[in-house]
Amino acid sequence: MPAAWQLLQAARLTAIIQSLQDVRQLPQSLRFLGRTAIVPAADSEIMARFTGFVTIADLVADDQQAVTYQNTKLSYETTNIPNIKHGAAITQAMLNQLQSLMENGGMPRDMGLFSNYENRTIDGLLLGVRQRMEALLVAMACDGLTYDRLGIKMTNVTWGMPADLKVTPSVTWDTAATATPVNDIWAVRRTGRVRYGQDFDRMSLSTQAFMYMIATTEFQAKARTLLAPNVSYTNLTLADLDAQRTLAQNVMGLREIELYDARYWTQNPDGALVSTPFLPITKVVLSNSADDNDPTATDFANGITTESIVSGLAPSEMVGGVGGPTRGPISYATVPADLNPPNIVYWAVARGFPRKHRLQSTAVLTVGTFTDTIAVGPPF
Amino acid sequence: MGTLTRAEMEEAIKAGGSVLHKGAIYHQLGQLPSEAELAEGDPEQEAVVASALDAQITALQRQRDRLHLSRQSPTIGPAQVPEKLVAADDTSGTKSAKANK
Repeated sequence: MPAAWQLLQAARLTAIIQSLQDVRQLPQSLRFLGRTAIVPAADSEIMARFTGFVTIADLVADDQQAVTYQNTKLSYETTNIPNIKHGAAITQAMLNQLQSLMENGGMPRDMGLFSNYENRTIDGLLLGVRQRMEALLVAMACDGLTYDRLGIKMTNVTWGMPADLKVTPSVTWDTAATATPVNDIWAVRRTGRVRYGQDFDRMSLSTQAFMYMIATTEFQAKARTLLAPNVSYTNLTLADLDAQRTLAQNVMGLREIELYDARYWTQNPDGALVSTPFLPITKVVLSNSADDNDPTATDFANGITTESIVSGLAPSEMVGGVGGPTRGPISYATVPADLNPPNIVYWAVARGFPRKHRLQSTAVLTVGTFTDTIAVGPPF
Repeated sequence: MGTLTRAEMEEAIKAGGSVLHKGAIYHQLGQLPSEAELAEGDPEQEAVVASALDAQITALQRQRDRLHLSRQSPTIGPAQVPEKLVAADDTSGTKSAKANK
């Protein structure tokens, strides 16, 4: 290529890079995954749940017999581990484009987009697998999973959360005049503490639900008592979420209120991109920070990926290998043996499912049927 | 959405959850407050519930009167046979037997 033309090519590619640096693809903080223990598990693993109640001892007179009680039970359940998998095909045209870019010395400031194309593709796929793990963990925290995609259909999957921890307030939080969000939270926290010995000290909710909460008359009346005598609640800015969050933590006696608005993208069969929040915006999850990464409360059963078992048994189209049975998430590439057509497909896979060992470890409130007031479609 | 109706509360409980109303958590249908209790304090809703209850009372009274009437005349004549029974009996030939009486 003539040297005079290279400048023009660089300018054109810089523009492409900027449009490909899509904020939707940037890693998000996957909060529920970050605080869940990922433990090795086998397929069709049988777990026993031990339920026991400690009863207070009796007073027995001298020379009298004491009685025995039987108040423990073991219940069995199995976990069938599904695959979490997706791939990205690199077409012949794309391979040729990448080759020509590499020959041209690559882009010095391309942030690795082209020069590390393979790594970025695999990173993206692995992130997608982790996002599905996060979505499953949130579904477990809310005790409800409905999934209908590519032939897999799951409807109202439950992890056995007690009914009185899965609460719908009779007045929805978007009814500012009569909703009682503070009392609602206190009521569920009291049930958790008194009936289940569980101290919920963290509340996770969407920013939209939080803004409805702080707009209620009840919240503002209760928050007013924590302000200086000469400051009215109307002096505060509702949009100052950090200040409002600190105030709300004090009103509700919570260690932490986390606003969780992360979303994931799925592609419909017609190619349309749809974004969905990990935590539905009308759900409020209560949890105990002491249960973070405690596998006796919840965990993610992580099985050995079948691909890693099969790839070592016989020649396959996998490039290289994964070195024997391996737990996910893993990624690999396949190339057709006859190079017909000559393309590469990158894959990421895990095999796992979240498990709830302490059924009362989270509580959930459904606080309305409202939608987000901010548009959530593809921004570009 | 505002305030849940009793039907919506029942739905939440049937789905395996519970309803939080005035500080109390209800997770069984039998525990739920009645329509009248839920309407307390809301004049508009009270009127709606009162009207629905009146309609129920009228319907029940009609049933009660019918029961009273049938006790007075133990032999059912053709005029007192409910239409549904007549229709149902058509195929079994009972209608003609009753009509012959």
